[in-house]
Amino acid sequence: MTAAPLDQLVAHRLTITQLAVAEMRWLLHHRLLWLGAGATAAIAILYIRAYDEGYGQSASYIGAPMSVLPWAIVAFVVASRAGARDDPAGHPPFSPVTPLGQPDRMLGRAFGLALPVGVAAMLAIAVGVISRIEGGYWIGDAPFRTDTAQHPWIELAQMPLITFVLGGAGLALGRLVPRRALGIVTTIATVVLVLGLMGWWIWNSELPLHSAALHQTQPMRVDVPSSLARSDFPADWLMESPGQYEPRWGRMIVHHPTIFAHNFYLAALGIALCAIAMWTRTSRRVALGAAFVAAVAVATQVAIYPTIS
Amino acid sequence: MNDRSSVVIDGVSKRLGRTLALDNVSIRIGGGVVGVFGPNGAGKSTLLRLIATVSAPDSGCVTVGGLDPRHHNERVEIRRRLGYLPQEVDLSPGFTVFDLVDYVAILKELGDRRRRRDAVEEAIERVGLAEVAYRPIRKLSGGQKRRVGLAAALVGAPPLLVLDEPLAALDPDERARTIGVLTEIGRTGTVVVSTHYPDEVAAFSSRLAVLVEGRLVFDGTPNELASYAGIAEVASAAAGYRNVTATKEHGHDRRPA
Repeated sequence: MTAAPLDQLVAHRLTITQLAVAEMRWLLHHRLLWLGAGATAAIAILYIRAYDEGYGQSASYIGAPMSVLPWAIVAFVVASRAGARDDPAGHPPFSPVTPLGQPDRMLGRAFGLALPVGVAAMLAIAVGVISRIEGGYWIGDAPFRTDTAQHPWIELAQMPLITFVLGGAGLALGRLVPRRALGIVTTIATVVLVLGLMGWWIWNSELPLHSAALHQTQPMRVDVPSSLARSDFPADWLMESPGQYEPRWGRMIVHHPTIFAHNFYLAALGIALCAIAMWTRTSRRVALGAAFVAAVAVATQVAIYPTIS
Repeated sequence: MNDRSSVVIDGVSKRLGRTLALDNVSIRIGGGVVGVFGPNGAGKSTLLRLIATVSAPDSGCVTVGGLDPRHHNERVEIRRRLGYLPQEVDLSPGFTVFDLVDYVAILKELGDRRRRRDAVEEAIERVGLAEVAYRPIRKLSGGQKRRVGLAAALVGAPPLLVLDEPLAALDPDERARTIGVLTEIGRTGTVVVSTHYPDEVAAFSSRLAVLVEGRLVFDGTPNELASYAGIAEVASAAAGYRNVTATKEHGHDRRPA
């Protein structure tokens, strides 16, 4: 590479970085973002306090990381607005003719997602540190056994990754949906996201567990064979008692390989969505490659799903 | 002629839906302030959008400084030399004036932070918004918002300014100030202005172009225009074919030299 193109490349990267910083400032101007921050903080505190005070414990292990959801959904809505800023078919585009065209602007917006992703990462660190101070969160319910576990850091990484996915989805939506329809489409998408989340919670099936970007994949409940007597359960197993919805004993597993594969899935999905938002020939190829990686990651999760023989 | 900002429009036609917005228009612009006026729907904004590389002609060609916007790299280079104010500007209401103009400065590749800050402050100062530089745009009047768009076009001191109705929504004082700024810029660069205020534009333009139903019916100096019809008359009669006839009768050449 000659000096001149190298200089241009460095200058271009500097410009994109400055654009990303400006995009973060744009994001901070949305009041909705602050509402999401408040809701997330309130839910996180609620789950942590619920553990301490001994009530509502059933949500603690799952609930603490899932407190990121209001923040992530708000990031989705706000990013959709940012993605629509240069809508060529709707309102007149903002500053339509500058050397930095739409793909560069969208790249700046994608890097600007570092703000919501960074905040989610800080929340993840806070949850992880408090989890370690507390000795872990409630995960099983069998009496007279250990019933708490600490979140592994790679699991907590799903909090910023989920935010990245939803931010990328917002950018892609804003880019592809005409701005006149964006409000309606974003509202519908948000409702679908929330309903989908509730659907998973109610019907907890396996494939949605691996392919949904929005929920906590851990812990996994694995049925214990009925041939195994309660007295034979190994001491290190985290157990769930038979109940109204699960008549058999279950083992609660925090399965690191599945977490790892799911993280890959989330990262690939986020990259694919940001690449779709840029919508250039190269970015579409990147999106295709990332979508393939995401599909492989889902297949991997299904293949390595833990079982007890 | 300013080579970097000279504009050559050669036999350009542009159709918008079923309407022929521009019909075989040819004009050379090489510095100074050039006013483009005509009745609503005459094709002024379409012409300015072509010069500003927002859209491409159906036939004919537009070049800026010898660069052809049909080629990506040349289009980007044109945009480095260009400040454009669209007829409608979509401003983010929550942003301050400074932040918005600063954002446009980044889009214009003003990389160095200090240089960018100076350029932004200068642009805001020039349009008379220094006192409200840190005020959210939603709290500004219509005229002030229009000037924010103008500041965004001016930032970085591009040699070619393409301004679609820059005087619209401005009160008389704001209009006078804006005219002063454009006159000053026109001394060293090229300013193409579309307007509904031909009297005012004629006062500070070195050249006027009149469009009627997509056709260029007059291209000359304000004095030439006044000598055969008077500016007010042209403004009121531009919608009709009388001017076309008048133009032909007076032998004004509307082909490129």
